Amino acid sequence: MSDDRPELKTLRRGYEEGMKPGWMTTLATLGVLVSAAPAQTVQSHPSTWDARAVEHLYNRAGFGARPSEIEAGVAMGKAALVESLVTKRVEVEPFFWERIEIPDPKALRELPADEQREKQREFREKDRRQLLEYTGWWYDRLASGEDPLRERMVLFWHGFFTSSVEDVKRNWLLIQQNQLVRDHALGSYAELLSAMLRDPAMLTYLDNQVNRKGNPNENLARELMELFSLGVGNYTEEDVKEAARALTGRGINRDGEYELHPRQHDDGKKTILGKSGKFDGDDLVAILLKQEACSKWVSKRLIAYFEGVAPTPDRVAAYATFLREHDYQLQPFLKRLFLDPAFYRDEVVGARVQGPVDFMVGLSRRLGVRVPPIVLGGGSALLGQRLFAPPSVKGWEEGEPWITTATLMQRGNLAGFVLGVVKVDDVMSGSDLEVSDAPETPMAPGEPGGMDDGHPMGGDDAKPPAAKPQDAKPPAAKPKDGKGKGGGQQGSQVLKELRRIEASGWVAALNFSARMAKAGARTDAEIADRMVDDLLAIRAPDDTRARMREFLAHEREDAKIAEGKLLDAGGESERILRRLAHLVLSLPEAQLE
Amino acid sequence: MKQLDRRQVLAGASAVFGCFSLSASDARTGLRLFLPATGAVGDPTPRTLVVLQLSGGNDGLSTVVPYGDDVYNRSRTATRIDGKDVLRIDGYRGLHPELKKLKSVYDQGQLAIVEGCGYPEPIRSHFRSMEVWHTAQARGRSAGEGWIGKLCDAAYGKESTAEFVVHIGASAPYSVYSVSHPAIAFATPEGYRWVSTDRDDLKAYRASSEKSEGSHDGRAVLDRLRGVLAEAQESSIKIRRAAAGYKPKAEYPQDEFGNSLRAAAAVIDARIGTRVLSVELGGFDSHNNQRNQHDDRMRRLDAGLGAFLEDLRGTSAGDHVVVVAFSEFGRRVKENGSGGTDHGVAAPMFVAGTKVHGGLHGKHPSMTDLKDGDLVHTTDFRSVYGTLIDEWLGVDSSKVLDARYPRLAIV
Repeated sequence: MSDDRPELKTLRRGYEEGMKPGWMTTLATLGVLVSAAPAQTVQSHPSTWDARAVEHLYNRAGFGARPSEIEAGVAMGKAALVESLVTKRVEVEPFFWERIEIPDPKALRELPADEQREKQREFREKDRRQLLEYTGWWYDRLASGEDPLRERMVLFWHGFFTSSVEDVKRNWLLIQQNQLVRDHALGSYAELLSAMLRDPAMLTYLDNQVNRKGNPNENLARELMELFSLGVGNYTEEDVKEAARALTGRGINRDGEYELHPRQHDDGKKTILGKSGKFDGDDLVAILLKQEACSKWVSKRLIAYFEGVAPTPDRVAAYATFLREHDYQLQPFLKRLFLDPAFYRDEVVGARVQGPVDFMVGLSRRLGVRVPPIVLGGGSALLGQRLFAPPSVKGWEEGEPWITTATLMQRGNLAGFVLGVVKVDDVMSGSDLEVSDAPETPMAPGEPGGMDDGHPMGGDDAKPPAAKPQDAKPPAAKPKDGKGKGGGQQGSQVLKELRRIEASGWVAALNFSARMAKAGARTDAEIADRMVDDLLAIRAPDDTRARMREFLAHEREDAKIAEGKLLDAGGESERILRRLAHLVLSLPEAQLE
Repeated sequence: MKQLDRRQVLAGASAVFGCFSLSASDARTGLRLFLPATGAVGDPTPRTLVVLQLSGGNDGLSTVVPYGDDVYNRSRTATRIDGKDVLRIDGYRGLHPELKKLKSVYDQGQLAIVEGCGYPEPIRSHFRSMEVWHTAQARGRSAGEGWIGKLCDAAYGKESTAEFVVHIGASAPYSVYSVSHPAIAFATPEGYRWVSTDRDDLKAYRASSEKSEGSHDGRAVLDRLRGVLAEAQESSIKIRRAAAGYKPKAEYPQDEFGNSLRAAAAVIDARIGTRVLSVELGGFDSHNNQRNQHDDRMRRLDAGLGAFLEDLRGTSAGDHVVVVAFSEFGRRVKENGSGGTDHGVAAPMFVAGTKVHGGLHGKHPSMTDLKDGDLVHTTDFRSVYGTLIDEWLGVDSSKVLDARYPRLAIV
């Protein structure tokens, strides 16, 4: 059992084992033996191929499913659906992007200081905007559901081979890296690894630009071993030093292209992981790929990501062998995983906390509406996951740590925005996106009273959003923030966009009444159940269903509509159904997949 | 170890972890051995630390001005502050002319200025240098959680309440990142809530935090999430009620910074057990035409922080509060060609509060022995952190900083 693995006993090593559920890390933080970890029974779940299994597969291999896709998946059968997800690629309309030239420093020096700054500002603005547009394109791909597994893998690799706008000042390099990831997302890990060590964004991000003969910088070599290939405990400090030497000279030229600077490359003899020779970067990759630890590390990271639970050592070993036998090809690996009964065990199904991207993209998928990418991206960023800005080289920590008191409420608010029942300023007023220096309205004197009357959270609901100052006037101009606040600046942009979208009158093209009627749901119970099933990624427990039914019945009665006639009440029924949808998407259940 | 950008946004995990108990009983005892001066978890009036981040790299030489130094006067032109304008501390240095309220706090002996703060092998990237300040580790985020997160771990083990660490402002800094003691973060207290259009919705939302008996998908995790929901509602009410009912004893400026500090005072006054408050003032990256921009920042800093200190003075809560202000780096000694200054190294830190030993601490960095044109730090900033952790909060600083740094007589 994994419980006894010594490496779980300390925080540092425990974390590096991969993406374990947050509580494990928490226990480990306390320096406590993880003896209370539940047994990882890989029991053979009776493999019934039903709607629950299909939805689970779509949740993990993609970003959720529409009811029609679930029906089709059940009919197709397990093998055929897995085969299709793994092998069927769709042609994607490519995104046009260009290398944006950094102003030539020589020419720049001729200019007065003001103009120098202006030129640099122009470059940054153009570069930043292009990345923002690309991010929008990516979200469209994510939400389209046309090639779910590829998009899932692109996101996985983005958190595995990380690079961030915070360090890669030429943002278009990140577009190039993302394209590289797309090309290899379902190809071979070996090729992706090799390509990453020539990727200009990666070389910049991990300082290999300054990794030179005689004066090596170990940053890339260390992360390569610790995070990209072997995992801690499978190499020595000496290996890191020697690997850094093998990578010397790999940099980029003025145009931002990969270049090996021969005079900066140390072509002396090195000893890495027991092998000696005049190794260069490609030799290093070959040595790494031969390590059993490498196939284990990649297998473990993949299984943990898809299952949301750290796999047992036995299972890792079996998958690692398989991965090596298939030359690190990812398609056979994923096919095996999705066909594995263990992938459908109770411990796994419905038990993973959705990340922010999962949540935003998943809700647009399940609602079946196109949500503007800026809403998906802005929402994800608000909830803590900004694409192209992973918090550190270790990427995002998945699972329960995503949920805080603040993010849980904000997730509901964002769902409410998409449904049209919550205004941007309501959602954003508690966010990192609010960066203006505009004065805030002090709370109205009556509100504390309202808060004490037993409906504290409803105290300010009576206040129409239009009364907020943000609606009436644009945020005051603010001085430039430090670069450490890059997120804030981007956030400010997102906020403006969201307000613009709202002002333009965008509403999600939803018609719950028609949807329910088509599904044959008429009674409160039928409608509430159908909404819960459609909008949640997991099977809701009975008590939750009962509460939603009760809510719906109560609202219907309040509106003086007879049972069974709700869908005939036009706008009134749609408003009630949207409030129900908002509630459902704000539930703790809506955070799971 | 941990990183998480959500920390920049909304910081940390949550009380999802609250329901796990320690399996090794001696570990619990161990954590109890060091009962912090901040008091036990339930202490309503613990000692509180307010961490103020000046983002962008504040020009220390324009904040505590060495107006009596020839090198300063020669190195600065557009950004130079004349000796007749500074608020004189002594014959060598004076505060920026806009720091009038802070000067009066200084004169009352409640503002400590720790000169020449920095760290070895300084980094001039905003992001990377901020990481060092946020983790108190040379390796930055690779070294693990934020220093405030580690502080909570050292002081309270696994015990936590949602309001332990509160960040008010645009985005929570990495310093508060912690899995076991996640911070709550909001730009305005009013925004820290679930928005509904109808009271019935709210009632149903609240009810959905009730734990269930039946068996269903992911039940254990679902129960924990329901616990977070219950806590979120409680916390939201506490925070918003604190802000709505607060009557400050000083007038706060009507800007974002003033609002943040007003909310911070409200949280302290509400006595909901908050240990660390984090606030931020941005806009210090002054590469060109620094004077106007920096003067404005100083004005806002003085108005906001001055009001906050005035508000707390004379209250019992105020005696439990210490403010520490820092920036990721100072700026170069020599001005650049566009009336601004570029990224530098050492700069002063401020520590303020009624229990603070005011005055000058540390040592002014040499204006002549520069390294690559930058001031060399004379005090490691971790001496300031360490002193506050040990002496103010009563927690063993070596558990937070992984080392002991020389103490300063600031509290």
